Amino acid sequence: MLGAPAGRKPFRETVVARALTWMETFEQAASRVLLSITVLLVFVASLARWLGYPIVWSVDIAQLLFIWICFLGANQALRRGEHIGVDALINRLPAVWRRWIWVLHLLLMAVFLVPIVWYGIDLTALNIERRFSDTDLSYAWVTVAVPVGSALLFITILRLGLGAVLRAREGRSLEGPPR
Amino acid sequence: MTLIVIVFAVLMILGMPVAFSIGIASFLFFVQSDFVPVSISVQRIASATQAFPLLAVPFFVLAGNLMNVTGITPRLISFSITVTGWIAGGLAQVSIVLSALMGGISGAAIADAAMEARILGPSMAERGFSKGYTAGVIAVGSLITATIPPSIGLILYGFIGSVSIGRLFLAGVIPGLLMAAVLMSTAYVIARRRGYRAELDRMPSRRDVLTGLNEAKWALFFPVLLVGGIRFGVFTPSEAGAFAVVYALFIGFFVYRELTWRRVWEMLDQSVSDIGMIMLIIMFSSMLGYAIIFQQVPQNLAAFITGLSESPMLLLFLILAFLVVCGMFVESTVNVLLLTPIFVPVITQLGFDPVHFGILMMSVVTLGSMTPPVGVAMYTVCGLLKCPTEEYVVESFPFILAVLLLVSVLAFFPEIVLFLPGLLM
Repeated sequence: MLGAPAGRKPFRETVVARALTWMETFEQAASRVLLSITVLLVFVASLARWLGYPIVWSVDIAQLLFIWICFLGANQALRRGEHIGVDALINRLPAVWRRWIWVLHLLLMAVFLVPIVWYGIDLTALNIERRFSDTDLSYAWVTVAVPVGSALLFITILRLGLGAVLRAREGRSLEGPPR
Repeated sequence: MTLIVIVFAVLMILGMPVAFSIGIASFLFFVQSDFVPVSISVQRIASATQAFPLLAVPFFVLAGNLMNVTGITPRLISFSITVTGWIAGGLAQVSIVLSALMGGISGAAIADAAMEARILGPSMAERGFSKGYTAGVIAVGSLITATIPPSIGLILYGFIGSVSIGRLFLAGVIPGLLMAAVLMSTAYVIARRRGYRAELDRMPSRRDVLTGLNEAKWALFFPVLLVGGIRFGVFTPSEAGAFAVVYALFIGFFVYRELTWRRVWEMLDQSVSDIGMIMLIIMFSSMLGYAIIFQQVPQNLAAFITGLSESPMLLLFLILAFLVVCGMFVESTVNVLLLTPIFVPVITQLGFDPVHFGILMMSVVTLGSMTPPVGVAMYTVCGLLKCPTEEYVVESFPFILAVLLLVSVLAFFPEIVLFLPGLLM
């Protein structure tokens, strides 16, 4: 698992940690680039349409890129604690309670994502033969974003959860979810 | 359905992120149903994103974030001071007009409120305005951005409810301007009574106004261009979003020359996160959408609501009252995403135009973020101005009342809302 037991070298120096950091950097850059490409694509396609040269595949590709932006963005928002929730009631509870409720949330979220990844793989396998309407591209490129994106969310949740538990064990204070 | 509602309610109360509360609750529907295969749930998540009109959301989120760093804001502020600084309540009037202008370039109420609290708040305190009054004007004033095009909320409503986004944009213009007028009058009455001074000692000359107009023209022209472009079929709403991004880059780099690539990169990063947050809710709630239709919730609800009274107007007000309460507890985007598919069929059956209802709904659910107990705009502004919540509640009351009165008038007279779309579309 991800946590380093006492006595070994700190977690942030392990291979796993470095791989995760690398993945994060890559994901951030990729999502920004994908969003830029999508804007550019739709803009250029509409210009081309005015000029009488419609780019037929632009819509399909824009939508394909979009689902990836959605999942990568959702993962970043999760890492930064930006997913909105109703915290009016929770904020009245003592910090210790809040922390454990947060861990419980993460646990539930992780459990929920497992079947999504599982069925997502199934769905992708079913869609390999299916084509986009205007391109010869396989529709599986869209559906595979669901299992991959959910797996990324799953990893982020594990990290957040382990982080919270470890900090709790060390007795350091943590104000529930990162804000 | 009861299972979904209970699980959803418990998770929400415990503060789980909305996207996952919806996801988990609606996934349970697929798991326990004997008729629906579980694999449909995953299919719904993927297909939720595969709609071209939905691309308007990421584009306008990015355009709004970019607009804020182009250097347009200080120009809009000085323009607002020129045209409204002479009225009693000076900077309060300025903040209201500024919200209306900001609504035309980005349209995120909370971002607008935060910006005004930072920039205008300290000066208003220096001039002796009470904290409660300042916070009330700024927070409630930011509501104007909710209906003035482009509005992300209206795009989402139009997409989910299958309502023309072009018509919604046009319909939002007059209510937005009326809201500005109503709030300015309220601010004026209170300012006169308390002797809050004007910012300028005389009305601006025509020359001053023209100079200001010239400085702010790129911002003022933008919503006109946008709505016009959609109306005359130059672009679809999603293409308009891509166009808005390019427009923001253009004025940032070539007109005001204050934008840097570094800022663009930062705004891309922020936007991806914002988009992910909204879209995860949309993706997971599309599973709920399936459950809702499978269980015929809109039909049942419509039957239940129409059974309550014979008068459609009374029912409309009941629904609006319900939405006000929802808005007080849940973020406006979430309300739009969850309640649009339920209420649009009901309202249509009652004989109301969904465009009319969209403007009313957007106004009341966004109002919730300016009121306790859960009000992001309220907490943001009060936090920045160090205004105690009790003081805010008392002093924002006249403004909130003014908004509710205006919404009632708009509900009674659909012609006001539907005039522009009727005239132009």
